[in-house]
Amino acid sequence: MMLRDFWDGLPVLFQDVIVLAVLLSPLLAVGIFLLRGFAPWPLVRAVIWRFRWANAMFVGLIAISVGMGISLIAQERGLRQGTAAAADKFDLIVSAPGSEMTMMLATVFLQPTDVPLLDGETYAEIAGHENVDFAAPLAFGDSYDGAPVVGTTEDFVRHLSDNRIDGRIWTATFEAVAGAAASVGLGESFTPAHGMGDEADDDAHGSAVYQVVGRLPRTGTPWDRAILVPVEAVWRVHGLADGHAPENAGQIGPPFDPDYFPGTPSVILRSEALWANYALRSEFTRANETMAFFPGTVLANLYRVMGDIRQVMSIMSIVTQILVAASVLLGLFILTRLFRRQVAMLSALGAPARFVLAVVWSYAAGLLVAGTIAGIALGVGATVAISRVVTARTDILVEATLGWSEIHLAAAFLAITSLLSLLPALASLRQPVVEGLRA
Amino acid sequence: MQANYPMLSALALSLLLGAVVPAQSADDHAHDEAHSEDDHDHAEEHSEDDHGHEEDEAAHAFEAGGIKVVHPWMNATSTGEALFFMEIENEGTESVTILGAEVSFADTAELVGFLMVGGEGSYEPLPGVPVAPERELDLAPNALAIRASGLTASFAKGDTAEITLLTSAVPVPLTVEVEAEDATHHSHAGHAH
Repeated sequence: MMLRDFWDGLPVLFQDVIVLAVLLSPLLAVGIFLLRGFAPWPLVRAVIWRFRWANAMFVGLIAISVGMGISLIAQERGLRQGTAAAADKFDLIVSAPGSEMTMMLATVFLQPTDVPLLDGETYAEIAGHENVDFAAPLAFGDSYDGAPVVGTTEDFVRHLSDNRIDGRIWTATFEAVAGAAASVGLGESFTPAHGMGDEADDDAHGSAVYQVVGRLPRTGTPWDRAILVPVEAVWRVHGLADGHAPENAGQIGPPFDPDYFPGTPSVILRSEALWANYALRSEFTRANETMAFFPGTVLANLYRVMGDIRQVMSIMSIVTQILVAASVLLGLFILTRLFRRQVAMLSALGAPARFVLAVVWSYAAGLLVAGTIAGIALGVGATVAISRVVTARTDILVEATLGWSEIHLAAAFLAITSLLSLLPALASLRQPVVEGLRA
Repeated sequence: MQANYPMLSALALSLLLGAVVPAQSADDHAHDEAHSEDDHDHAEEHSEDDHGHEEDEAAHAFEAGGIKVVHPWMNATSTGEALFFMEIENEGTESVTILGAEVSFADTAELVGFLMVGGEGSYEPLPGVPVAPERELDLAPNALAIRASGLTASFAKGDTAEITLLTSAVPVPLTVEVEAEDATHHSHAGHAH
């Protein structure tokens, strides 16, 4: 118990370095034991050069196997962090009761979906709650050039962009703020199409023209491709009341008049304190009326499932690596047969057994180290490439980084295979010298 | 050839230290008779069910001062830390603030809330969460929980533990059921109590 506490009390970096050192210690121990007092390098270099094509293939095989394992772990972590970062700005979401996952996909990841709406009374109660800093209604349904046109409020735009808007926020109903990756630039104007994707009807809103007056910085979320407009504009374009009584015509943003509120699929709530978010969640979890949830919690539950998948995949990649280790071993047996003559010559010249062992093992370990290092590079390269594709397709910023778990994986592979490579080295010693000389 | 970091570090740790965490019995935390006012209706409801209960008198609902607590549970643990989960209903007419818990077999116990930052989740201490009349507060994994640190005992699946929920109204004594180490909900979750 005390040792466990001591271990848990160590800084994480320190733990990682210790694990790495423990994993690499067999390699170092064998190396020191075999090489003490010897300098087999010229011979090892000669062997490597002599059979360079076979050796290169070996290194390539090891590199692909190690690279696959590394890329799997790094990619999973990148996806997890990327999707979580995309949800960072969405503290609490209130919607009509239903599936939290569907509502999260619709609200955070802007996946079009048909959901029931919350009415004006409910919105007014949410927005008027004492712990609420702002409550932003959303209006979906229109698009421009494949990008969603989302109606919301100024508070949410400022929150989403950390108040770093290039240009300015809207001051009139038909002004828009474009996401960093949206296809309209500052000062341009556009007419939205009704619907999204192939179903979109370009001519439905012929008379509505938005002027882009601001642009958001990149957030690494699907909202980068969206064009944000006042929620009143979307309602008006669809022939609905615009949330304000006739005497307040032209008003933009809250407060909204419940009698003229067309409804919202979800409300994004913001509260400074964490406790208040949980209190709000309790307050607005009501059977048959409203559902309140944290996208962070939904994602964490999803990652737990992903964690299980990762473990299954890890086992698959371990099996692959065991296969590769076995074939490496077999290959080393064959390779040592190739220089059987040279080994026999060394023995005939009176070289001690440990020296012969040192030459053969150093050669094998050299291939393994080169393959592992190339594998790490290959794994990182593959992860970077896949992450770029994912980011381009989903707008979720996925960053590939080399983490300690990947380094530990590579080190464990190296440790086990380098220990196993003692076997072919020992086998080459057991071959009769005279036969070897004749070979 | 491990791909899983926690497994790896545990392996390395045991290699390094040869540490075996002593599995203490939690028998001394078994049922007591202090809950005579527990919801026995409920226990009767379940007495014929086949839920694999060893003690079929185990209550799943606890009530005091208009606060009803349903399905308190925790994961089996031997790490010295535990999270307690439960459903709290305010059946009174006043708002009640949930403050934390008194846990006799732990150094500290506090109310914590889950927070996701940059893809990594963590639990942050909370000062207390108010529950309005006729509202519920769910303490569940990756959301709210009561975190106890410095446990003096280990708990295995099937054990129970006695804790007292602290609220701004009255304290509520609870018998917490210990679920499997990787459980994500009470084994009776989904039942209406």
